[in-house]
Amino acid sequence: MNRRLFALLTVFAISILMILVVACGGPDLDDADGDTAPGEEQLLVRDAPYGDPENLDPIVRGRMGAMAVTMNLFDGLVVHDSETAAIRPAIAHDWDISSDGKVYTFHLRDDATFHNGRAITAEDFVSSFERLSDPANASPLAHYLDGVIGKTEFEEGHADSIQGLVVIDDHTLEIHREEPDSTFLSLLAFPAAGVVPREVVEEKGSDFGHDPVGSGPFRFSSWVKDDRVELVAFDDYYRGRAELDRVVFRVISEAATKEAEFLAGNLDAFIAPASIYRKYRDDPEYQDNLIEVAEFFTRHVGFHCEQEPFDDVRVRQAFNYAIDKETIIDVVLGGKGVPAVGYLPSSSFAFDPDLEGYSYDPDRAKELLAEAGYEDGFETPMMTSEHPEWGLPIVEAIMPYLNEVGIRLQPETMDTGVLYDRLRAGDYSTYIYSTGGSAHPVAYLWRFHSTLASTTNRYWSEELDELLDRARATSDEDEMVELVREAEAMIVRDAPIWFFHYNKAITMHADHVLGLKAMPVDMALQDLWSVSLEP
Amino acid sequence: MWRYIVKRVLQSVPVFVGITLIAFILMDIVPGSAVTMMMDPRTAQMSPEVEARLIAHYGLDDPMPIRYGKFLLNAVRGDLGFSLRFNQPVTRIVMERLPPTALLATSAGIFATLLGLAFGIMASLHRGKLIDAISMIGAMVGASMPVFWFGLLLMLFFSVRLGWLPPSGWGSGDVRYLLMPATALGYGFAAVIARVTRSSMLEVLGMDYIVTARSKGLGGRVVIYKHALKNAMIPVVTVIGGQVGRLLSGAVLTETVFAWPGLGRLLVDSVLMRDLPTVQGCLVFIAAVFVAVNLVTDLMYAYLDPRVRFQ
Amino acid sequence: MKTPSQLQSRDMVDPRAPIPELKRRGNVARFLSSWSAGIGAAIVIALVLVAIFAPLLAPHNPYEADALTDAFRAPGGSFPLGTDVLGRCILSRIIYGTRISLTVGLVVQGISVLLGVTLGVVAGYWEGFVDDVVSNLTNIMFGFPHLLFALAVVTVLGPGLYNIFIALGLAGWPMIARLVRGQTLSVKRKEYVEAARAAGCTDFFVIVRHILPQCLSPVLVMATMGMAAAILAEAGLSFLGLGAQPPAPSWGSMIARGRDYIWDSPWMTTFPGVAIFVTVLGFNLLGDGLRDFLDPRL
Repeated sequence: MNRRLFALLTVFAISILMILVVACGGPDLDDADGDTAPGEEQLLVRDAPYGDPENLDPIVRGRMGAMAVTMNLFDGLVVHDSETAAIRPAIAHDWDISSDGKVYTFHLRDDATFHNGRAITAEDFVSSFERLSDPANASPLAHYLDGVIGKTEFEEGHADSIQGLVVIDDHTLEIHREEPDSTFLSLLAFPAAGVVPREVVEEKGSDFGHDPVGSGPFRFSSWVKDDRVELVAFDDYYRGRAELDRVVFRVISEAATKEAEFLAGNLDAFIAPASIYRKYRDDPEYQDNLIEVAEFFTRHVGFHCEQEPFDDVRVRQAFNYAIDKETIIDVVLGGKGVPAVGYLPSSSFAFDPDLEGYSYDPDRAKELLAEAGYEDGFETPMMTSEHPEWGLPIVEAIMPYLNEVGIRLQPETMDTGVLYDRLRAGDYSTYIYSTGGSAHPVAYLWRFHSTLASTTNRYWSEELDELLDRARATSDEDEMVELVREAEAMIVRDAPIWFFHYNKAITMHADHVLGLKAMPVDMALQDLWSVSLEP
Repeated sequence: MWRYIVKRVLQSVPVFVGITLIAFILMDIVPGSAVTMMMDPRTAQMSPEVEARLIAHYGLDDPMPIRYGKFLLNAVRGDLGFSLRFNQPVTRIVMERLPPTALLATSAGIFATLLGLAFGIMASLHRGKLIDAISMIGAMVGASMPVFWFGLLLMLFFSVRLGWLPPSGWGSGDVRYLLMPATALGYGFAAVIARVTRSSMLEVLGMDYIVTARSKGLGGRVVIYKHALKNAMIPVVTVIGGQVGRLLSGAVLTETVFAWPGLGRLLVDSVLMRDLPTVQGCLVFIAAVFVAVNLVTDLMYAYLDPRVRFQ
Repeated sequence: MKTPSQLQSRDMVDPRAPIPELKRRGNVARFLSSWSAGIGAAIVIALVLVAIFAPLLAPHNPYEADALTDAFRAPGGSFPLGTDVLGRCILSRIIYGTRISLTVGLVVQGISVLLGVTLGVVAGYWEGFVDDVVSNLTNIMFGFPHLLFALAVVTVLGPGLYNIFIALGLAGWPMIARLVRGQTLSVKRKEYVEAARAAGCTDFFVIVRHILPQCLSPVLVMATMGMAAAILAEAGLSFLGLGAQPPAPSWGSMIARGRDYIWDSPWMTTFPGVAIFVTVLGFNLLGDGLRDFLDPRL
C-alpha cells in the first residue's frame, strides 16, 4: 500500500470520527429555549432522584424516577398535597362522591389547557383513561382503573369504550364504580392518571414518551439520556405560571459525585443519602438546608410465612425483639431513619400513636425461640441487594444481634431482578427490601391482603382481609382510620416482617432555593410549581 | 486492497453472530426479567394477568431460538429491536450515546497515544537514566491503578479541593468536562503504550541496520525518526489496536464515576434491567468498532512493514 | 483486558527467536538483580506471607466489629487504618482481603491458562477446522470487552467469589490461546519436531515434550501479569455491585461500599485502593522482570 493511500485512509477515518461526534451531537442545551434573558433566568438544577427517567409517557412505566419528572409535566383530576399527602384539587376544582361511594362527579376547570394550547375537556380524561387501560398499550399501571364499570369488557375487547366513564358536559365527568373504594382518588393523583392530548399521542406513537406533551406547570424541553432532562415553565398554566423558568434534572448515579456537584454549586437541590446526612445536619452552616420527612417507604426484612421456621409467629416476633434497631439507625444510617413501629409510616394520618411495637429485648427473643422449639437456634439465608440503607450493610449489622439469640444469617447478595423473581416465586426464606410509595393508608397495607400476599410474604388471614376490605369500602374517613389501625395492630402482632425503619427522606438544597416541600409520599415527587429562587 | 477489506468484513460476520448469540443465551438464562422490572415498585408485585400481557406485548413469549432468529432477520435490515427500558428503537438509543462515548474514547486514546509515545521514546533514548526510570515508574503506576479509584481521586483534587473543573457530566462536549474522565481512562492506556514503545524502540535501536546507519555517520535524529521509529511502531500499533476492549471496559467505570452519558453505562444498566434488545444493540456497535479497529491495525502493518502484503 | 500486549508483539516480531530455559544459575542472579523484578518479587512474597499469617497479623476480627459504635473511626489508636461503616477494623479487613485477592488472581489465571493453553495447542497443532473454530471463538471473545463479559456472566450466575472465578477465567483465556497457538505453529514446523513426528512419536508426546516447554515462559509472564489484571477486574466488578459475597472482605467491595463516604472518611476507600495498587504493581513488576529475564534481547 502506498503512502498516499495511507494518508487518504487516515484522513478518511478521522473525518468519519469528527462527523460522528459533530453530526449526531446531542441537542444544543444552551439555546433550548432562549426566551428569557440570561442572568435573570430562574433556573433550578436538581438531581434525577432515581437515575434516568427512561420514558416520560406516564403510562408506560411505573418507575419513581420517571414520576419525579412526569408529575411536573402531567396534571390530572386531583393531586396529593405536598406536605400531608391529602387529596387536593388539580384540573378538577371540585368533586362529589355519591352516598353509596360508587359515583364520582368531577367538576373541571374551564381554564386548563394542554401545552399545545388546546383546552382540556372531560372527553380528554375519558380518552386518557381508556389509553391507560387499553391492552394494546400494555401499561403496567392499567390496574389503576380496576373496578370502574365496563373496564374489564373494554380490556377484553368486548366494548369500544369504558362504560363507567361518562361525559356530562365539557367540564363535568362522572366515573361509575362497581364497588366503593376509598383508595381510588389517591390513585387518580398519580401521573399515570394524568390527562394527555389524544391528537399528539396519536401523531407521535412511541415517541410520545421521549417528547411528551401534558398539561402540568412545566413543559418538556430537552433530554440527553443518562445526562439531563430539561423542562421550561408553561406560560398558560391554569394555576398561574411557575416561578421557575427552567428546571434541569441531572442524572448522577454516584452519591459522592452528587455531593461534589452540590459543593461546587452546580446542584441546587438533591435527595441526600444516609452517608452524608449527619454531617450536614450537625453543621450549623447547613442545618437549614435540609428538609426531612418520614417517607412512605418501610424498610423491612420479610419472612416467608408459610415455611419453617418463619411459619411460627413466635420466631418472627423473636426476630423483632432480637435487634436494636435504634442503634443501627443511629450508627449505620447516621440517624437517617425513623424507627418503625409497624408497617404504616408515622407520617400517615392513619398512624396510631398509641400502637406499641417491638423493643430491643434479646432475652424475650430467646424465650420465644425456645418456646417455638429452637433452643439451639437455626440458620437461614437472607436475600439482599447492595443498597447502603436497606441492603448488605444492614444485614451485616444485624447479624451479630441475631447470632446472640441463635439465628445465624447467611446473606446472599443479588441484583434486584433476581430478588424480585425469587420473591414472587416464593423461593426464599428471608429478604431485606424497601416497599411503599402508596399515599393512601389502605393502599399502603394492601400488600398484606390475600390478593397480593400470595406473591410477597405469604402472610394473610381472613380476619385481616375483612378489615382491609371494609376500610376500602367505607366512605367514612374516621371509620376507615379505625379499621386501618385495627389491621395494623394485627400485622404488628403477627410480625410478617421485621419492622426496621421508615425512610427519613432528605432534600439538601442551596440557600437560595425556596419552597421545596417535605413530600411524604416520595420526596422525589416534588411539585416544582411552588419552588422559587431568591434573587 | 479493497478486495482485502471486503473479505475481512465478511470474515467478521461470525464475530457478530457469536457475540449476539452468546449475549442472547446469557440473557435468556439469567434470572429476573425485564417485565418484572417494569412492575409498580411501590408494592413490588404485579398481577399475573398484567405480566402475561406485557410478556406478549414485547414478544417475549416465543422460545429463545425463534426470538434469536427474529433478531438476526431484523438486524440484517438494520433494525435492532425495541428497548424494553426506554420503549424506543434500540438504534436510536445507541446512536444517542455514541457521541459522548466516541468523544471520551477517542480523546482518551489520543491522550494516551501521545503521552505514551513521547515517554516511551524518551525513555528508550535515555535508557538507564533518570527520565527512563521516571517514565517507567509512571507507567507502572498507571497500569496498576483501579480506574474508578483514580477517577475519584482526580475529582477530589481538581473539583472538590481546587474547584477548577466541573465534577461530572458531559456538558455537550465542553472540554473542561472532558479533561478528568479522559485522563482517568487514558492513563492506564498510556502506560501500556509507553512500555511497549520503549522496549520496541530499544529492540530496533539494537538492530544491525540502525547500528550500520549510525556508524555510517547518519545523524541521531534522522536515524531515530526515519528508520527506528517507523519499525518500532509495528508492535505499538498492535497494542493500540488490541487495547480497544480495555478502553471500553474502563469506559464503563469512568462513565459511572463521572456521570458521563455513554454506551458503557447504558450497557451495564441494561444488563441489570434485563433489557436484552439494548444489550444486543450496544454489543453490536462495540463489535463493529472492534472489527473496524482490527482492520485499520492490519492496514497500518502493511504501511509500516513492506514485507506484509494483502493476501 | 489488562493483559499487557507486549507479548503479542514479541510473538510477532520474531517467533523463531530462542527462548532460554529457566533455572540457570547466572540467570537467577541477573534476574534478581534487576530492580523491578526484585521489588515485584518482594511485594508478592510479602503478600503471600500476609495471607498465610493473616490471623496472627490482624489486630481485630475482620468480619465483625467489637462494637457497632466504633464505626467511622479515623486512623489512629487501636485502629491504625480506621474503621468502616460497621465499626470493623480496616487494617484487619485489608489483611484478610489479601487472601481473596491472591485467590482471585491465582484461580482466575489457573482457569485462563488451562483453557488458553489447551485450546491454543489444539488449534495450532491440528490446524484446519479446529483451528477455525478456536480462532473464531478467540475473535468473538476479543470483541467482548472483558469486564462486560464478566459482568454478564456474574449477572447470570449471581455475585460471589466462585462465580467471579468462572466469569473472569472465561474472559481471560483468549489472549493466552492466541499466544500459545502462535508458538505451537512455529515450533511444530521446526526440524527436530518434524523429525520426532516422522520417527513415530505420538502427538501427545510431541506436545508435552516439545511444544509445551516452548510455551512455558511466555505463558508464565502472561499469567503473572494476568493476575494483576484479574485483581483489578474483581475490584471493578465489586465497584459495580457484583463482587465477592460477604463476609469476604474483598478490597474491591471495600472501596465500593466506602465510596459514598469518600469525601469525609477517605480512609475507607484509600487504604483498600492502596492495597490493590501495591498488589497489582507487585505482579506487574514481577511479570516485567520475568519477561526481561526470559527474553534476553531486551
